[in-house]
Amino acid sequence: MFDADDACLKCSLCVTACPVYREDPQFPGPKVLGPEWHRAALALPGLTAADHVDDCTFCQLCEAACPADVPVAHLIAHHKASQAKSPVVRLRDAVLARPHLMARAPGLAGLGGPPARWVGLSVETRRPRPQPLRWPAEPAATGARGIVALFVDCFTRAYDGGAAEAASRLLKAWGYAVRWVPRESRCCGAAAYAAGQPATARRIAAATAEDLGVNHGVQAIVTLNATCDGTLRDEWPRYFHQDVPAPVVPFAAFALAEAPPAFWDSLVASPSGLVFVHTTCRAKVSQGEGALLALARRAGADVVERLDVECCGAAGSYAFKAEHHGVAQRLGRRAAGQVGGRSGTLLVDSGTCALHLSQMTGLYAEHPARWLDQRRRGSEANLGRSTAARRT
Amino acid sequence: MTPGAVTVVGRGPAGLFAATLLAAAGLSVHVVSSSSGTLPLWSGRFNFRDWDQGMVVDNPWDWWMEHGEQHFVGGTARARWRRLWSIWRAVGQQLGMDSAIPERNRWTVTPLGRRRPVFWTPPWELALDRAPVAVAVVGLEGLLDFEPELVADGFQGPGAVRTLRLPWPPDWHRGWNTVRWGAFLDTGSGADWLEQQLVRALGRGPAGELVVLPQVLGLSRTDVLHQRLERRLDRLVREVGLAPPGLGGMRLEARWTAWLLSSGVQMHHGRVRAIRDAGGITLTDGRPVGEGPVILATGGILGGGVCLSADGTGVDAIHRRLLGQLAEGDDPARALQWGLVLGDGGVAGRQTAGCDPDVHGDGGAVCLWTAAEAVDRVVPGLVDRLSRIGTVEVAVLDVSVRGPQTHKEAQRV
Repeated sequence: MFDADDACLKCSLCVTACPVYREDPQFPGPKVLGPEWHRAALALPGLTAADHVDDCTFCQLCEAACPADVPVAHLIAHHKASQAKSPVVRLRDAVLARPHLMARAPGLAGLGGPPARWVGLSVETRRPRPQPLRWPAEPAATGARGIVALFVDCFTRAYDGGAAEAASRLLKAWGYAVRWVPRESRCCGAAAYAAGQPATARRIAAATAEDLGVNHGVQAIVTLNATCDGTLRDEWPRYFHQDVPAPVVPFAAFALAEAPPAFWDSLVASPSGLVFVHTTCRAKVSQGEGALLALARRAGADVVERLDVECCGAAGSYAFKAEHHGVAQRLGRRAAGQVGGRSGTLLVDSGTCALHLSQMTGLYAEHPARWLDQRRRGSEANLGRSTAARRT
Repeated sequence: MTPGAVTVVGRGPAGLFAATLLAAAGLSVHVVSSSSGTLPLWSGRFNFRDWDQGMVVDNPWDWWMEHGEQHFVGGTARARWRRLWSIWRAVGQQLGMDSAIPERNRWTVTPLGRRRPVFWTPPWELALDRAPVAVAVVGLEGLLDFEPELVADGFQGPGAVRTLRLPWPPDWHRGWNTVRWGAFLDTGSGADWLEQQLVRALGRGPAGELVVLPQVLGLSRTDVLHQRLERRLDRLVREVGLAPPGLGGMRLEARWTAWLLSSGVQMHHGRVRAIRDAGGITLTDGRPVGEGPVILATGGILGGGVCLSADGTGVDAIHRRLLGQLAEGDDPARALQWGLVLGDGGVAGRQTAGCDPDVHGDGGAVCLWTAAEAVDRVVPGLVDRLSRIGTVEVAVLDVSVRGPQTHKEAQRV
């Protein structure tokens, strides 16, 4: 099926990396559910799915740990596809696997009470509130430093439009013309793949690729969501059979590399308070860790603390499903324990992680682009005030 | 001239140690890796030199004085080793694992009940200078990797040895491995369960009794649980490292990575495609990472810096550079020597410089030494100048200098 799908050495490094394995005593772990199940399924066609396979959050930390390049998480996703589910759960999962359609009617996310229970949604897990993107009056045609495409993912488009607007303001301030892509609400395919629907995921991704509208003049596709970032850059070529028309760069990495020194120097005037940083599991896998911390420090944050959490439990729509509520809570509890009731800002580049972690810790969570833009504006205001004070 | 930034490829113990030295010296560091390092596969101990041709080495300090020349960077002086182990002690202290650097090898017991030499261990791991007056070896029902009766064989001697076995905890399932046990004992109910069971099973016991457990005392709350048990039982409690996955190495890796990140080191996940002439590397997905010189710490058992083909050709896996060719009848182990790429950048790790830690029991020392050599090649004199690791001062070890003949003290155990 994939390269190296039969290369498992049984070293168990994937098990040591799995956050669910530690929190869910019933979860058999990535080695059993991925490569071992795959070998068994090849030998015994029609093998039924293992219990608890759906408890995998598709964080992919197992795959990132594997020294033999076994696509552990993707084998588990294919394993999930063989589960038997009730019609109602199938309907719920079909909807959650198409977040770009949900985003066209963002109010649906607020479904509560008995209807939510009936379709198997967790009524305790915090849901996103609509905050749609406002299109700018006139997108700039060119910038002094070239053109970047800002990938406005479906969640950001419907529930955190301010993050895309803030990122656009910053990119423009750094000398770039910004194009918002894709043209309408589309999904990279991550939600469907994570839920064990690889074929649907590929169809969704193909439609997004077609609608992407990134031409050869674009220097980079800047992403706002860590999961979309990894999906576009790493998974589209390997698992979705899709080409990516330009280098894909997460917002934080782009900012660190391309924002001019004068921009960072201008930020020190504004106090930040305590800043926590969470690097999502998918960012750790596709990028690594340290860029958000570096961004917070570079932007002159007073105190920066890293959340020592592998996967927070949000995992896209995972925490919204009633049967995953317990595991999602246990995964998030570690963050709550570390924060210990302190107040501060949490920087995280994933909308669902921000929701879940703010519910678990009580912190105010926001996208790094929003935070950076606010600091820029706060600094300008402070500077304006101090200049005015000097004048008087 | 000191470079502003250094890229380290590999996140096993050698890579993390190289990154630690560079970060402690105030350099900007990028660590790049394509998979987990080897740390979660072992207990976290750092050995110096355990064996020489099947014989136990009693004093590894003296052994290296006599035999360092065989290992490329010849004549590794005692002062250099003192320096490296002093730094390692400070790293341990910074990571909450304060453990002294011994003057000689100590010994531990394997899960099969054999004695084996051991040098530096984290505070929770068993390492003895002499046989204890009394030992209680405590197993856990259902944890097949640690049979107390078997382990007790390693303690046979003048002291009293007793074996005990704790029953299954309430939620136990036969699929539990060490990671699951560790996660269970990280919880409040797990820690309470273990404490109650140990109090009940051990009773008062003889004075000075040592309690030996399998290495399952939690992942993230080990220190709290370890101290709590020692206080409550009024006895020393030590763990024996088990077959992989190793909780000790997982604890070490988690603490080490967290500290490096909080010290400003950036960790990148991806596979290296090329080392750029201008500095830093390019990953297979096109991402440029880092700048400045590159240290390859890919010599571990998982990655291996050298690709050896069936025809005997050895290629540096990252530079795609021919390193050498084995002639017919050559010892394949010769290929390991190719891992030490001299010149630009440096190479660190266990499979370099003709070392074979599986046979020699010197993996920890080889990591420290090769990483330090690689770092010194990038910033000459850095290792000797380093005065602090984070908030911990590097205190120079006082290891007494003995005669050069201790090799003869080697004995079979």
